Amino acid sequence: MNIRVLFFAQAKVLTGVSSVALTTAGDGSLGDIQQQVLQAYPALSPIFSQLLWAVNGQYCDSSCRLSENAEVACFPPVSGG
Amino acid sequence: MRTTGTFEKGRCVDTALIELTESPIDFESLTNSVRDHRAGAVVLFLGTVREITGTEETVQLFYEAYGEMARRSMQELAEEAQRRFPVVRSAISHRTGVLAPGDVSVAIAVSTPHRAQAFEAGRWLIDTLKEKVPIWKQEHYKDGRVDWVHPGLNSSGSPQVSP
Repeated sequence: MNIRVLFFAQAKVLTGVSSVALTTAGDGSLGDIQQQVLQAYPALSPIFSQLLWAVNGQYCDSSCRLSENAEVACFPPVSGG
Repeated sequence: MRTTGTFEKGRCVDTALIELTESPIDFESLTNSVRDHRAGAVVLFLGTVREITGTEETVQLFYEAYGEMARRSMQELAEEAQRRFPVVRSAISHRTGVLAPGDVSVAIAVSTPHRAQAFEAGRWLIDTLKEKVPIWKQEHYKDGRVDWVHPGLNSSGSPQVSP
């Protein structure tokens, strides 16, 4: 499955990229993508447990199932307002 | 994030106006959009850029949004507010890009039959927006430091005490 992962704010600073294309041959869950992101960008590790994740614009946890071409987003706690 | 410099037109679904814009927020129009003969009260909340926080002096804020999700999330907040409170109409506008002290970063207008409900609904909307909508602010301090603001994190990722 082809998955695009977007990074925002401090997550974008730590990875140095605003998005990355990944493929998953695993169980197709968000958890699989989360592990790939951590391996590819170890700079995220200090904040990894506090990152928020969304799939196709909805907050999700690691058990969330992904579909082909899903848009995953990864970001630290929000601070709008 | 969308980097187009254009005003993204507000979406009117049911009775809620939702917008994410790089242009100054027209809060007078926003307020008028929630006026309704069924309402006896209109409350407008403005979030503005604060220059001094503790001992820090802010020269500008930069707001970044995950545009598609932020708009959908604000729409869901407006719908949830209508379930929780007797909201007649509501409107939410959030700014993105570079803002200076005093600028309006967010505006929320809500109308209800009676005034207490309007204050309660407006308070719930801004509190929940700050907790859930994927928008981030970056502080640019007078001494040149630049920091993303992430409640619960500092730039190194260790716990931070909320001000």
